Amino acid sequence: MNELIEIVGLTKAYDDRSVAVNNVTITLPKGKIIGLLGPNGSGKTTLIKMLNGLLTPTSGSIKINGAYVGVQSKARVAYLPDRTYLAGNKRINEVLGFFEDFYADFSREKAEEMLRSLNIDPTTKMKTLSKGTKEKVQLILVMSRNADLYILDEPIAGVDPAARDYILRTIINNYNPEATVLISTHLISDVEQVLDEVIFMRYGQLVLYTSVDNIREKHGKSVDAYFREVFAC
Amino acid sequence: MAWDLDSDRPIYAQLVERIQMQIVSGYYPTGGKLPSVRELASVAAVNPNTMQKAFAELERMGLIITQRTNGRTVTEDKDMINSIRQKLAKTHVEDFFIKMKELGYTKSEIIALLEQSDERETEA
Amino acid sequence: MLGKLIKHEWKGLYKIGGIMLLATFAVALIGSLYFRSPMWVQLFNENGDIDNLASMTWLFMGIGSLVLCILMVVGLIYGMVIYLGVRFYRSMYTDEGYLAHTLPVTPHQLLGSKILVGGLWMLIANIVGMVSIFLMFFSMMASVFEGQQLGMSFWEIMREMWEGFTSLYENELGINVTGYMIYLVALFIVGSFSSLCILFGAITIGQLSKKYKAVMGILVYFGLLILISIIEMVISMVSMASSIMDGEIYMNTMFSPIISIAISVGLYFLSHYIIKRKLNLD
Repeated sequence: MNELIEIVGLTKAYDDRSVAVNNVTITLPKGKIIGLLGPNGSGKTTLIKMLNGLLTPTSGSIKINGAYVGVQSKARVAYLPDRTYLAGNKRINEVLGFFEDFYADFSREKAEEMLRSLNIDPTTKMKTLSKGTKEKVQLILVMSRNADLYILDEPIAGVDPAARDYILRTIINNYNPEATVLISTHLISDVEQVLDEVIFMRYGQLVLYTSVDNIREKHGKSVDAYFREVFAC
Repeated sequence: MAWDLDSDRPIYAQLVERIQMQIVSGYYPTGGKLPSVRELASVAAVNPNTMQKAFAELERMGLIITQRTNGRTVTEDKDMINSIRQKLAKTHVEDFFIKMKELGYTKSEIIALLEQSDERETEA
Repeated sequence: MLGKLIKHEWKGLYKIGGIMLLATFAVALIGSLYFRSPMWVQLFNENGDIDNLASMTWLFMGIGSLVLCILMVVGLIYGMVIYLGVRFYRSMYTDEGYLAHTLPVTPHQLLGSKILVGGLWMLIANIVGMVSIFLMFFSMMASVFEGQQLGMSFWEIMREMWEGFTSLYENELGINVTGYMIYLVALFIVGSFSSLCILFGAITIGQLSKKYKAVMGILVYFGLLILISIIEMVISMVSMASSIMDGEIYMNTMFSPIISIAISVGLYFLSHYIIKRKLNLD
């Protein structure tokens, strides 16, 4: 069974007029790094929330590794949201302990090693860290998990180029053929070297799902250039 | 640190070219061991799947051999490496000639220019 | 998982909660020591004057500290409610909610752990508050009695008062005092947890609105408190009316806890439903 995510007829409608995700059906395999691309309001964030169980679909279903979204799937999904979701007055050490308690697949040693390599003192409180460092810490937490699905929402936005390199390298080094990484981003050109496949969304609908090489071979363009073409205003 | 790659061409093809170059120039000696897919993907800052594809292509070409216990090694076949080296050199030369012809150089002018450049090289 | 949630919830609360409790208790302790000091006792000495300035000052200070203690206790209770409410809102419905709701736990475990730990803190705060006030009050009264030189120690006086009190109720009014005491304690405990269900429930209901979710939560909370008061008033009026008609005095206070429990349980399940199906973090 090479399918990791099976989405069937997924819809999220807030009322008759605002449909955030419109009847999306897609199957995503294991062992791939997939880009989730689309303009603002395309339904990417809503889709990600539903994958994480943060939002209930209006209709349709999501299965992750055979299980419907729920407690089971949450234990196997590592989510990096595009915001600081850790309490400010907690020290990094305490957060490590917290993750250890709730996620069986969390490796504290791995996290501590990554923190060391970045010279981040684990006794510091979250709220005293700079924005970039906070993001790195949150990334380290996610990457220290041995999950089936990693969902990274804008992992490199608002981060300096050196940190970007570090983040992309960490994603590459963490690669596991049994897991899939879903990266949602606007910064396509920075990330496309690392992607296997891409999903284009617009107005809540699936516009395209294909391999990155397919785009390059068929259209002779980078994914970034092709995206601009498809979504030209 | 990361390899400089073009996003508008398939990356794996560029990786093949690059590793091919490294083999032909002797950076990876004949019969020598190659780094693992993961290691090289990390150095190049590319997706391991893509690096895997490149390695598969190189293997298809016969440039590298996957051994069950020893990982990947460069082929021992010196003739093959040399023929690839020649092919690549020829391509460079052809490109060179095309560019020079665009500039309006004749064959004798090209040869004279080459000899001049070579003298300067040996002087330096 | 529930155990771990409880552990982390406790860890998050005990520092500030503890400070609030200790501060209140410290004030009460200092106040009660003051009331046991000889100066205070002398005030009530039959031979003493309460006319001169020194005595007046001691008297005012005494009453002042009693008032301060009561204010601190009130502040403690309200402060605890606000503290627990803000923490709940923050951890569940702001950015921190992205962590809470992606943990591999059920909404029952998430809500349950917060109500259990929060309710416990509410209970402790109520107990500490009561103990503080009683401590101050009893110290004051003990000194008054000793000053009056009734020839008995503080504890003997207390015993007499207690026996008089209970015999009045048991013999004259036919009420089992010990039973009633136990009932009051149970009421107290249930009340602590149910007040939290109401608080958390209100905040959660507030999440249903599209804008100003926090403000809505506060409004719903006060709305619920008012609603509960109205219901209890109606019930007590009805039972009073019926008791007048029958000519007997009913213990209409039986209904009050039932109403609270019913509303709390209802709010719990409503909150659970909202979290499970209607959650929409910004």
